[in-house]
Amino acid sequence: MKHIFWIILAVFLLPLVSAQSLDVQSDSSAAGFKRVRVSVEIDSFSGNGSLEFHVSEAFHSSVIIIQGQAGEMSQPLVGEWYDDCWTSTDLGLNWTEIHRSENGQAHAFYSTPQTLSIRCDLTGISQSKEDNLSVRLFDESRELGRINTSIIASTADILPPPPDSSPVIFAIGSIALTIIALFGYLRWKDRKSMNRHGLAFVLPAFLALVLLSFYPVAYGMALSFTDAHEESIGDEEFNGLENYLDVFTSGGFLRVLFFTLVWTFTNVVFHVGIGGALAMLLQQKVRGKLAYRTLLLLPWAIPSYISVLVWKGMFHPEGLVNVLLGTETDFFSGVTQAQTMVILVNIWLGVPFMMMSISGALQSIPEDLHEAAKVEGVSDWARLRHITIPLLKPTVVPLALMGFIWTFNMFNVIFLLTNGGPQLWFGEPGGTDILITYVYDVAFVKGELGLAAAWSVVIFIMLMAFSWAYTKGSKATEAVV
Amino acid sequence: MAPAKSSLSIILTLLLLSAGCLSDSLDDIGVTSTEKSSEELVIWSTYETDSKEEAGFLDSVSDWQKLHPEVEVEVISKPFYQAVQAYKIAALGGEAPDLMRFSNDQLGSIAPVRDRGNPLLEDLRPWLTPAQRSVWDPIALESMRYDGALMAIPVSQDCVSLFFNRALFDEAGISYPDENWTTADFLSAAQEMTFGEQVGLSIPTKDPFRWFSLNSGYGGSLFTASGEANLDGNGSADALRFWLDLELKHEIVRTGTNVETMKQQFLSGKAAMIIDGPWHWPTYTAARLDVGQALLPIVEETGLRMSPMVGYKGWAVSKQSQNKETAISLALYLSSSEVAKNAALETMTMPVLSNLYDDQDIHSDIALRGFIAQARLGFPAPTSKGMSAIYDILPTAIENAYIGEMSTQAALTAANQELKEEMA
Repeated sequence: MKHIFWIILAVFLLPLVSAQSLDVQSDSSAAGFKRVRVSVEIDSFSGNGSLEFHVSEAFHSSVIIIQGQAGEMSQPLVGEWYDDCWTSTDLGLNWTEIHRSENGQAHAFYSTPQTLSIRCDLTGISQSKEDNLSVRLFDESRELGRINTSIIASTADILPPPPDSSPVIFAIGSIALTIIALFGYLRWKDRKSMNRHGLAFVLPAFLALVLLSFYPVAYGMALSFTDAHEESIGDEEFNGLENYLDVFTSGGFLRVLFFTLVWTFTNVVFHVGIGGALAMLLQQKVRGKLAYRTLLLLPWAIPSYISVLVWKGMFHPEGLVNVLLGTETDFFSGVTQAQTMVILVNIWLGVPFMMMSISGALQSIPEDLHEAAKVEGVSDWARLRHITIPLLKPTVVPLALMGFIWTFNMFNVIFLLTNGGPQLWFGEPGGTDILITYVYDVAFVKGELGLAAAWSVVIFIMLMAFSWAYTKGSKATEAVV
Repeated sequence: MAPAKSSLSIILTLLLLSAGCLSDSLDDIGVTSTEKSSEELVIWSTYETDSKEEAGFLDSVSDWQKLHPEVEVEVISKPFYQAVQAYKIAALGGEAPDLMRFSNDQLGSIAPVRDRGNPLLEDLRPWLTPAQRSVWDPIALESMRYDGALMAIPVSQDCVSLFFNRALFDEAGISYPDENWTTADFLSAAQEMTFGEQVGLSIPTKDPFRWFSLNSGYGGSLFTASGEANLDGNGSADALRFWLDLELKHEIVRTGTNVETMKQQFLSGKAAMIIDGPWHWPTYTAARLDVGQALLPIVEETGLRMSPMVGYKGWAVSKQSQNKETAISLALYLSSSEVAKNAALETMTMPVLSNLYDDQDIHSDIALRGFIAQARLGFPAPTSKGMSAIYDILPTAIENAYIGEMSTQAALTAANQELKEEMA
C-alpha cells in the first residue's frame, strides 16, 4: 500500500520536478497582429523529443526535437505562415530558422546535449482576452515538464480608413454655396425687377443639375487625366493626355465608333419612321383604335430587360424563331448577324415611345387646317408634306435628338443580348460593342478607371458636338419656342 | 412680413439639409458603428438561388446562430458570376460584406485590388493556428493563397465529370461508360445516340471551363510549371479542334448549346451524356432521372485521361469587417467536419478536409465517391491574375476557331500572346 502511494505521488510530482528544466518567456509585442512570441529554454536536453504548445487547452502546434542532422529538410522563409520558429544553442545569442518537413511540421536539430532554446511566434492568439498557454516538453516516451502561463496578443487590427468623402462633400458644398451666392447677388442686382423671385424658383433645379450632372462629369474629366486603376485606387497620379492617346490609338476604336454610329442612326431613323407612321395610322378612323394603341404600347410597358431576355430566348438556336422556321440558326454567332439582331430588338423596344409622342403632337394639329386644305382640293400627300410634317417638326426634332442621345448610350440591350459579342478581337471591343458597353468593360472588367474616364469624356464630347450641330442645323430650339 | 417669411424658409431649408449630416455626427459622440454592429454579420452567399446547396448552407448558418444567439446574421444571395464585381464596388464604397464565398480562380481578380493601399480581403494567416490549418487538404489550402496571403478558408472543391442517362444507354443497348472508356468509345456512343430530337452529348462548346479537361488529356496545360502562359502548348490546338468538331463535324452537340440548354436537354431526357459538375447533381436526381456518373474518358491519341480543373471555394473575410473574429468563427464552423460531411451527403459538395476523404459514409455514396475520384485525377485551378484573365481571353480564341476565322493553333497562339500581355 505504501509503495502504491509513493508511485502515485511520484507520477503527480514528476512534471513539477521536471518543469524546472523549462523556462518560458512570452512577448506579445514582438511578433505582430494576432501573434505572441514565446521563447522556451530547455536545460541539458538529450535524445529526441517534442515541445508542444496548447492554447486554452487546445493543441496549437509542436516542435519535434531531434539530436542529429537536418538532412534535406528546408528552412522556409520567415513570414510564410507567420508561425515562425527559431532555434539557438548559445542561450539565444544566435538564432537559426527552424527546419520543416514537407507537411510543415517544425523540427529543431541539435548535436550534443546542451541548453536548447526554441523561439516561436504563435498565431491565432486572441487580442480581447487572456488565453492560457501550456508549454509541454516530452521525450520519446513521457512528459518531462510543463509550464502554464497566460498570453494575450497586443497588436491591434488596423482597419482600412472609411471611404474619404470629405473632398467630395467639400467640393459639393463649395459649388452649392457659390451658386447660392451668385443667385443672391443676381437677385440683389435685380431687386427692382418684377421677376426677382423667379431666381428663387430656378435655384433648386439649377443646384440639382450642377450637383448631380455637372459635378460628376467634371470629376470624370479630372479622372481621365490620371492613371487610376482598381489596383491602386486613391494613389492615382496625373498622367497628362496618355489615356486620350490610348483611346485614339487603341485597336478597334474606329470599328466601335463606326458601329456606334450605325447603331444610333439606324435606330433613330426607324424609331421616328415607324413610330410616326403608326401614329398617323392610329390618327385615322380605325375600329379598335384603343386596342391597337394598347397593344403597340406593350413593348414600352414591359421592363426592357425582360423584353430583351425574351428576345434572346426566342432567337436561341432552340428558341421560338428557329422552331417556327424549322432551323437551328445561331442568330448571334456572326458579327453582322448579331449586329442586325441587336438593332432589330432595339427598334422594337423604341418604337412605342416615338409613336406615343408623335401621336400627341398629331392631335395638337388643328383639324380645321386639314379640312380647309381638303376643301381647296389639296391631295393627301400634299397635306402631309405641307401641313402635318412642318407642324410636327417642333416635336419631332427635339425628340429625335433625345432619341439619338439615348440610343448612343443604350447599355442594357447590348449587354443583355450579346454582352458585346461575338468577341473576335483580342483585347478589343466585341462585334456588337458600342462605345458605352466597351467603356463598362474597360472600367469594370479590366479595372482601368482612368482610361475608362477618358473614353467617357470622348463620348461626352461627341454627343455635345452632335447636339450642338443638330440643334443649330435644325433650329430645333427656335422651333420649340 | 415678407423678409421674415424668407428668413424662416431659409432656416427651414438649412435644417432640412443638415439633417443628413446628423447621423454622421452621432459617431463622433460615441455611438460608433463598431459598437452598433459588433454582433452583426453580413454574408454574400453566391450559391445558386433556391438550390439544395443554398438550403443546406442556410441551415448551417442557422445552426451556428443557435450556438451564438448574440450574433445577428444577414445572408444576401449574389449571382456567382457577378459577385466579384459587386464585391469590388461594395468594398470601394466601404460596404463590403463581412464574409463572402469565392472560388480560387476568382481570387486573382480581387486580391490585387487596392483601396488607398489596403487590400479588400483580410490575410487570414495570423488568425489561424497551425493545428487549425492542418485539417485541410494542403492543395486546397494552397489554392486559397494569393501572393502568399491566405485569402479564404477552404470549404469545398468541385470539378466536372461525365454524367450519363442510363435509360438512354439501355435503349441504345450501349454499355455504360467506365474508367477504361476512351474518347473513341465516347464519340461512337454519342454518335449512336444522336437522332431526331435526341443528342448523344450536350456540352457548352464555347465554354473554356469544360474544355480545360480535354486540353489536359491532350497533354496541354494553361500555364507552365514556372507559371508562364501556355495556352498554345502541347496538344492544346488538337484538343480545341476535337472539342469544336463534336458540334461542327460530328454534329453530336446541338448548335449554340450553353450551360442552361445543356441542363435542360439532360433534364428532359434529350441528351445521353453531358460534362457537368456535382453542383447540378441534386437537380438531376430530383427530376427522377436515372443518372450515372463516370470518370472523363482517356484520350485515344495520347493515352492520357481527360483531367478536369478542380476549383476550390472558400470563405473570405473583408478587410473592412469590424467583426472579423466572429466572421472567422462562422467560416471555420462552415468548414468544419460536421457541416462539410452533411453538405457532401446532402448536396454532393465535395469536402476539402483530409479526414473526410476516407470517411465511410462518404465512400458509401457511389456518386460522391466517383466525384472525389474524378477530383483526384484533376489539376488544381491556379490562383493567379492570369487565371482570371483566361476566362476573358479564351472565349475569343474559341470563337475565332469556331467560325473558322483562325485555325485552332493560330487562335490559341494569339490568345497566349494576349494572356502574356495581361500578366506582364
